Amino acid sequence: MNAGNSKNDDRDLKRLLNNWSVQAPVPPRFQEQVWRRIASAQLQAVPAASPWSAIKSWINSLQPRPAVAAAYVATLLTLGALLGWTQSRHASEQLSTDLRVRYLQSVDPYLASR
Amino acid sequence: MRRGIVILLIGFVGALGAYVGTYLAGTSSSRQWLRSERPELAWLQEEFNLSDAEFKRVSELHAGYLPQCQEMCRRIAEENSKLHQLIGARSTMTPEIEGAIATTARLRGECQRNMTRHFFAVSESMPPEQGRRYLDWVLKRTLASEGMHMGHSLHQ
Repeated sequence: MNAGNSKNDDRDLKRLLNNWSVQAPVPPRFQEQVWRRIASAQLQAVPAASPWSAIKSWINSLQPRPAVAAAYVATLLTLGALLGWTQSRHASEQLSTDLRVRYLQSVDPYLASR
Repeated sequence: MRRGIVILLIGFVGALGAYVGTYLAGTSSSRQWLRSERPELAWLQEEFNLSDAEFKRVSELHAGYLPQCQEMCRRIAEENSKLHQLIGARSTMTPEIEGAIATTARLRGECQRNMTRHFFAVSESMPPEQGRRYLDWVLKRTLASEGMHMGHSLHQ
């Protein structure tokens, strides 16, 4: 008996809910406001990245990616070698010029006295 | 994180090693010049591709010429100083000034003769092609540059 009543109540409740509709008007630009709130909440959730945290995350990213690590090491090796080569060329040229002048001054008394 | 730092350090140490290695390799010949007794002659040997025998002969010629050159330097400085004193003490041309100018001109001529003789002797000690190149180079920067400013031709 009780079970039959409750079934009837459910059916009534469902009918009532199906017929129910909200008549209150949605505030103007409601959808836009919702999206704005979502965006603002997401921004607050992500902390501002500091340079150190960026470096840390980059260092961490090297570990699981051997190709990136190898490329990084190879790039630094190449840069070091290039810089060393350029500097050695410059130093050699400078010394060569100095010795050229020294030779000329050693054989020409007029250049030596100037 | 720790492995990442190790990779980072490997990169830096490797770059430093590559820099030092290429720098030392690139300057090995010039560092060898500085280790020699007369670096300017060591430079000459490399510049004109002289064999050891040719270099020995050039070094002997150079050593023989140096006392003459130093004596010439002393005399030039002495005559120049005399000429400056005479010019500073007079307001017109005097026979003493004319004499001092003639002496410096004679000295210059003597110096040029000695230099040219030495340059020819050095060039003859080199292989013919290098000898010509040496003569062309040295004459342009010594005798031909007389009266020019030193910096214009000396460094080329």
